[in-house]
Amino acid sequence: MKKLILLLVLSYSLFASNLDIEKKIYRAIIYSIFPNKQTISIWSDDIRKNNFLSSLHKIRIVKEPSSADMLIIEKPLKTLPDKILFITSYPILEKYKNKAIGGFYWQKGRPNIIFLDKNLKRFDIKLPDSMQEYIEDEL
Amino acid sequence: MKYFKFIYLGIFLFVILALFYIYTSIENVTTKIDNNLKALYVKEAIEHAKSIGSQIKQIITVDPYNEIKNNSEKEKIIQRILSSHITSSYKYIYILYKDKKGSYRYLVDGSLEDRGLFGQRLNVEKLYWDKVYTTQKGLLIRHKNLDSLWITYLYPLIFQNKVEAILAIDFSTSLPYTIKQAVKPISSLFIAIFISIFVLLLILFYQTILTLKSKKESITDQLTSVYNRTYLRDFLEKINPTDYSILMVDIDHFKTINDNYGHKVGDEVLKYVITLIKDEIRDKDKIVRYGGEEFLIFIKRSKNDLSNTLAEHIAKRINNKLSSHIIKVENIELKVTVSIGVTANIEHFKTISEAIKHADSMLYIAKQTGRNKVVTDSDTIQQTNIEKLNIEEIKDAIDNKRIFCEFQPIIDLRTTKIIKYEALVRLKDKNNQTVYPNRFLNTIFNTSLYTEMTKSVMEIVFETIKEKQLHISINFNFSDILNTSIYDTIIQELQEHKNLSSYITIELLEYELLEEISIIKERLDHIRSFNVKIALDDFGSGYANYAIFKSIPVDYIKIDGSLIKEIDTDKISQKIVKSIQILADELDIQTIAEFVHSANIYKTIQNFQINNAQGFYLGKPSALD
Repeated sequence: MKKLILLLVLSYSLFASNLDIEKKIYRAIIYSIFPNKQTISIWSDDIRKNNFLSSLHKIRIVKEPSSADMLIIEKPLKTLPDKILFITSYPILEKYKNKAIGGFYWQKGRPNIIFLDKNLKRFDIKLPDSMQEYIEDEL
Repeated sequence: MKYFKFIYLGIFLFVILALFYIYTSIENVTTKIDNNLKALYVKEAIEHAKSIGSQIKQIITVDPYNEIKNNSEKEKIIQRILSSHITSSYKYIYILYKDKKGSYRYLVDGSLEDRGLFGQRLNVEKLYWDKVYTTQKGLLIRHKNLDSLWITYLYPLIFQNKVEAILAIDFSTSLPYTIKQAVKPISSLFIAIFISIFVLLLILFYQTILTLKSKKESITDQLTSVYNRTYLRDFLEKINPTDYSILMVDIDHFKTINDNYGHKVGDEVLKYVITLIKDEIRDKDKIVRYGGEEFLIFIKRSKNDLSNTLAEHIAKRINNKLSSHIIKVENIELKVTVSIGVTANIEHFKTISEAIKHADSMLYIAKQTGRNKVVTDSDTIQQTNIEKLNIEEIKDAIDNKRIFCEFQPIIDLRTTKIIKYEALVRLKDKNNQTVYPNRFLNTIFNTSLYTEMTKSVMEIVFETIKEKQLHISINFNFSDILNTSIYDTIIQELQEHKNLSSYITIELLEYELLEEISIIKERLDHIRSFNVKIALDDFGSGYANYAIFKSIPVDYIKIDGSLIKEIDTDKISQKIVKSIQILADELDIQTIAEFVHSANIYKTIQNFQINNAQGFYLGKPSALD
């Protein structure tokens, strides 16, 4: 029992830091994209993201992509509704560079954020000053 | 036993210090291991960087960005060079350039996994990377918030004295992280222990405050906020008496203030007077409410006060302050004065109780000689008051009829009328100063002068009875009854005033000396044959031998003042007095409570069914009008 408790404490310590960073970044990104929305509906194909996003204020996880305000995906989808698309890996972002407003992914242990200017404009999204440095004209 | 708490405290402190020492040691060891590892990896990384840098310079001539962009072969060669340096500890080796917007992008990435493409942006710590661009020197970045990265070494690639790109080597060894994680539960445990100890100390601190608050309340007089008699008992046990001088302060005519303006105004006056007194004493002096309007002040003696006049000086300051002050209470302006008795030379007394009694005597003198004054044993004139008179002086006083009596009333508690007086002997010295028995009785004890004085006192008493038709008590010791000379004097006086003898009560002291009880019984029976009443004085203190009632005919018991003076607050005293009263009722003996010095005491003894009472509250010893 003592070993189990120690293992749980260690496991939490191992993952807590990066998870916390990711949670903070997603909160900043989503609140920047939807500054005035009281309830933001999110759909994601990543269960881990669903779990921590559901704990954020104003965010509601939906089961169907069609009923979401924003899709956060890590894998290509068969059918893609015309929703705000946010990608969680660089290769997939390249694939959806004409549709996704941007992406967040880890590279070399560092959190990386990219917003694509032309797609932001398509959804008429104006990011705050703190996010301006992450806007790219193209990949 | 009293040292145990210090031992416990010592052990507790030792445990805390030991825990803290272990905690800091673990932290130090962790830091040292971390630093040693860092030094080891950094040294190696610098060697790698220098080697890579020199190899790149053989491939790139001037402009790395354009040369690699336009020549994919060069990119591949450099990539292979970078990859050849990849180890399990140096997981990522790559070159970034800074674009026109200031963002950092991949030039070449030699990493075997998570590889970036040419031109792909990588979010880095710009502040440090920019610094390498400006200083053209290598730099270490310690990643504190990222789990999978430990250190990044940045090495500038300089072409024509200009930094064109930066070679980055990420240390991804998990060794420091593993050590940190292994130690973390121990550190967390220590932090939890320290927090627990801190919380424990907070609770202890809170409990101590509560205890101190409660203790302070129990030793503080609620009305005046000065110490009460409970504190006085503890204080007297703890102090070295010779460290203090004693002031006994009494507010003059306070009863008149209460009678004229009511107790509410009286209470406010008490508080006001205390405030004024406090202004004149120091923090190290102690003030105790001793009775209704009586206060004891213990003046801490100073080593520099060789003439021992500090107490007198403070007493005079208090007296002057009160005299020159008008007290305003509820729009009533009152001039309140105090009388103060001082025992400055406490070392003249065997016990501190005697010293307090002496201060009380000095106060009494102050009140008898006009009030609003300070009387002190350090005063040249008053100094004579604590020195015993010699035999010649006493004989002179007896011969010249300077022996006189003061009379203190004894009240019937049911009717509140005076039923008798207690005669108290005094003499006037050559300076016409009143001298109290403590200065002359012991000197003449067992001499013929003692018999002469007995005769004088009895004559004074009988003259008073003849004139006033009053009942009067006279004090004797049992040893006086055994002393044939004194006994004969008593009998002679009783026979001479046979018609007045029924007005006499003899109060007997020191009844532990009852070895010759049959003689005493015989002589007291003879005295009683003149219709004289017998009272046992100071009953309930010392040797309260109940068997005495079997042998001695007793009409009155005078309950000792030590039981009465705190009966309003002390439960033990209450129980003893109750039991004495029950005994007296059973034996059909009247009781007299002595030392009734306040309204509270008076009210309390009324509830105890005591028959009679005597004390300063009811009347002080004085000449009869």
